[in-house]
Amino acid sequence: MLRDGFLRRLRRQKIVAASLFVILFYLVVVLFIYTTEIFHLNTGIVKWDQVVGAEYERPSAKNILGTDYLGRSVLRKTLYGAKVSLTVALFASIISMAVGVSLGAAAGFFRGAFDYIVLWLNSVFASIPYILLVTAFALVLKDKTINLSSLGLGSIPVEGIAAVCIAIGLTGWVSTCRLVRAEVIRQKQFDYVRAAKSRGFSNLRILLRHILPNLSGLIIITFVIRFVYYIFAEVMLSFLGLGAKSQPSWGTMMDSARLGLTIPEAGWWEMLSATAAVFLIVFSVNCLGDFLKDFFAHRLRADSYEQ
Amino acid sequence: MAAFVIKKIVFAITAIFGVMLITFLLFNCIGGDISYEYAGRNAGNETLDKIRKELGTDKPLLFFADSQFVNHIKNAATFNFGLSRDREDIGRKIRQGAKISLALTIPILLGTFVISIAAGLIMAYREKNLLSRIGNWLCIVGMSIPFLSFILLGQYYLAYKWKLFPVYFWPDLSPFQYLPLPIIIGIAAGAGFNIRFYKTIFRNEIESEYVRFAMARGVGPARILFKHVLKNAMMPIITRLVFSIPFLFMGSVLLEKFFGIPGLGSIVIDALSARDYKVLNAVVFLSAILVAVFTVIADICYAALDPRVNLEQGN
Amino acid sequence: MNSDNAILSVSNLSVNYSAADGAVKAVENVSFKIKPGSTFALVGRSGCGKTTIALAILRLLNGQGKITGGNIIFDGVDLLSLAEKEMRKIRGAQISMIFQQPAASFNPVFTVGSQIAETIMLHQGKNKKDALADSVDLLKKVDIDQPEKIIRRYPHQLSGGMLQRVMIAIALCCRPKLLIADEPTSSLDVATEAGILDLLFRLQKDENISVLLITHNPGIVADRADYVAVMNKGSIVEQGETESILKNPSNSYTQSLINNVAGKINL
Repeated sequence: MLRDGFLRRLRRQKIVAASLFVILFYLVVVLFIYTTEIFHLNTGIVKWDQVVGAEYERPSAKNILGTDYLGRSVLRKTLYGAKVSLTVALFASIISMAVGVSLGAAAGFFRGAFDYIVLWLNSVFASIPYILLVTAFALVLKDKTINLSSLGLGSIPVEGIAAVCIAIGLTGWVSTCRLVRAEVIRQKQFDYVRAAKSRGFSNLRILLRHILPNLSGLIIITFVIRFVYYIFAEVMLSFLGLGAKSQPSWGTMMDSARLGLTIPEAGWWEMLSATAAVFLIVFSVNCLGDFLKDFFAHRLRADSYEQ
Repeated sequence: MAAFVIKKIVFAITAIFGVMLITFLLFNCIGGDISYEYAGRNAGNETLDKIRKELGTDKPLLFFADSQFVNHIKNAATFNFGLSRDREDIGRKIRQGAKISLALTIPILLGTFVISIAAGLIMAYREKNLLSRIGNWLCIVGMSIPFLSFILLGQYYLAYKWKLFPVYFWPDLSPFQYLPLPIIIGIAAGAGFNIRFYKTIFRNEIESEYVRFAMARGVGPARILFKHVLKNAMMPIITRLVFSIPFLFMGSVLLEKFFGIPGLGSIVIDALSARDYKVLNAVVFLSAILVAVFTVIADICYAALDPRVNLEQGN
Repeated sequence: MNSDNAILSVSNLSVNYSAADGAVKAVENVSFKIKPGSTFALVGRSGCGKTTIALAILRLLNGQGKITGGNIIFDGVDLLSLAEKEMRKIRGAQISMIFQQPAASFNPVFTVGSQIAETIMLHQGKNKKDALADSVDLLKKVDIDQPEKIIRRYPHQLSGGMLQRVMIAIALCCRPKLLIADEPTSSLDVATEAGILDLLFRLQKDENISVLLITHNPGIVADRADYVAVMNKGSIVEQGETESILKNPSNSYTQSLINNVAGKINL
C-alpha cells in the first residue's frame, strides 16, 4: 500500500498529512503514559489525581485548562484520558474486526450451514438495541476473571478498561461481518479463484492468500470507521458509569463536567477540553478515512481508467 | 412468494428465540439472585423463598418444561410481561414510555431524513461546487463531535444561558415546549453522518454508466436526478429507513436522560441500574419482533422497487 | 465553416484529466474530419484516449476530464461554444452514441421500452403511447423478434447482444447525422459481434449516417471503415484511407498493432 503513489497523493493533500500528524501525536502521548507507568517514572501527566488548585478554577496561566471539581488539572486529565479512550477504541476495533472478518470470510466462502448460522447470529445481534446489548455485556464482564488455567495461562482479571474493550468489541462485529461476507461472495465468482482452484490449492489457502488480500482496502476502511465509532462508544459507556472509573477518560470527564455545568459558570472548560480532545482525533481519523476511501477507489478504478 | 414469506418468518422466529435466549442469559448473569435485594438485608429464609416463588426464580433456569426460560417465553408470547420492580404492569409502563419516546424520535428521524436526502442530492450533483465542499467539511466536523457534547453544549447554551427553550422536562409543560430542543439537537448530531451517507449513495449512481447513457440520449439533469438516480438509490435509502424504525419506540437514552423526559429510554436506563431484567427482557423482545416484521417489509419493498430482486430465490 | 464538406471536424483537441496526484494529458492535439455518410475508425489500444474523444464530442466528460484546447465543429456548429441546453438537444437526436457495455448502460429499474420511449418523447415531443408504438417499430428494424414483448422487459432479462440491438435502436430513433460507436462489440462474443456489426452498417447505409467507430481491433476496421486514424498515448500517429493505412503502415506503432491481429484480417 505504501508505494510511491500513496506518498505522492499524501503530499498533495495537506489536511491529510496534518491529520496523520495529529494521530501520531496522540499515539506518542499514549505510549509516553504507558512507558512512564511501566517504569514508574515521575512525570506530570500520570499524576492526574494530584490537586493543583482550588475547585473549579477557570483556565489561567497556571492551569491552562482550569481545574475540575476536586481541583485537579484538566489538562493532565485530558492527556491521560487519551490513554483510556484510545486503548479501548483500538482493542475494541481489533476484537470486533477479528471476529467480524473471520466469521464473515468463512461464511461467505464456505456458505451452507455455517453461513446460515452466521446470518442467524447476525440478525440476533442486530435485533437487540445496541445500547442495551453493550451495557449488558459490560455489566456481565465487569470485575469477572477469565479462567485460562486449564490452558496453563493462569487467570486474567477483567476489570475497567478490559471489560469495556471486550464488551464493545464483542457487540460491534456484526456490520463488519456482513460487509466482509458480501465482498467474499462477490470475489468468489472471479476467475482468479477458479484459476487457483484449478492449480489444486486448498480452500483455506485460496481464502487466506488469494481472496483476503483483495479485501485489504475494505478491511482498512472498516477498521478506521469502527475506531471512530468506538471512541464514541467509550464516551457513552463511561458516561453511563460502565467505564473504567479508576482512571479518567474523555467520557468520565464529560460526566464530571456535567455536574459542574449545573453550578453557574463552572465546568464548561472540562467539558470543552474533553470535547476538543475527542474532536481532534476523530476529525483526523475521519479525514484519513476519507483519503483512504478515495485512494482505494482510485486504485480499483485505475484498471478501467479509460474505456 | 408464499414459500419465500414462510421461510423468512421461520428464520425471524428462530432469531427472536435467539435474542430472548441471549438476553435472558446475559441479564440473569447480571442480576444474580435478586431476591436478596427485594427482601432487604434482614430477611429470613422464609421471606426469601416467598419472594423467589413469586418471581419464579426458584425454578430451574433452562432445559425444563417449567423452567424460568420457558415461562419467560410463554409470558412474552402472550405479551404478559408481569410486574416491574416498582410493582407496575410492565406492558402499561412500556406503552406509556413508548408514546413519549415516539413523540421525540419520529420528528428526529423524519427531520434527519428530509434534510439529509435533500442536501445529499444537491452535494452529489454539484460535487465540485464551493458550497458543496464547505457542506462536506461541515459534515465531517459534525461527525467528529460526540453526541454527548452536542447535548450538553446545546442544553447549556440554547436553554440554560440564552433561555430559548426550557432546560428540563416538567409535567406542566406541553410537548411543544419541552420537545423542540432535544429534537433539534438530535437532528443536528445525526445530520453530518447521514448527509454524507446519502451523498455517497447518490454519487455512486450518478457516476454509473446508465447516467452517462441517459445524458448521451439528451435527458436533462432534473429528470436524471429525480427519475433515474432516485429510483435506483431507493434500495439503500429504504434499508436505512426500515431498519431504524424498529428502534424508534425505545427513544433516545441520552436525550431522555439529559432532558428528564420520562420516555422508554429513561425507563430502560432505570431498569438497567435497578437490575430489573423483566423490563429489559420485555423491551428486547418487542424490538426483536419489530425488527423481524420490518425485515420482511423491507424485502417486499425491494421486490416492488427493483425488478432484479426475485422473491422466489430470496436474494 | 462547412466549406470542406465534413459532418464533423475536430481540430487540435486536447483533454486533461485531473487526478489527486496531478493532471494527466489524456488527449493531445488531435485533429480529424468525418465526411457525410462515411465511416471513420479510431483505432488504438485501450487507455489511449479514444473514448475520451468520443465523450468530448458529446461534452460528457464529467468530473475529472476537461477540454483544454481545440475546436469541435459539427454540421457547421461549434459544439464547445453551445449552451448546455442547446447541447442537450443535439445529444441523442443529431449525434447519438452506442456504449461499450450494454448491460451497464441501461437503467436497471426501468423497462427497455420506457428507455427507448423516453428518448423519443424528449426529442420529438410525442406522447408516451405514440413513443412506445415507435419503439416497437424501431426494435423490428434492429431484427428483434416479438418487439411488443421485449419493450416490457427489464434490462437484466435480456442478453448482451439483445441489449446492444436495443441500444442501436435508441441511437437511431431520431435519425441522427452522426453515430458514435464506442467499442460496440467488445463485450460480446464473436458470433454475436458479426451480427451486430452487420446490422449497424446495414442501417448506416439505409439511413445514410456518418459513423465514428472506436475500436481496439484493427480486424473489424478493415472491411468496414472508409478512413482510419491510429492513436497511441493520446495522439493520432497516422491517419488516412483504410486500405492504404492497413496495407502500408508508415508508423511502427501501426505496424505492431496490425501484426497483433495478422492472419485475422483479409486485406
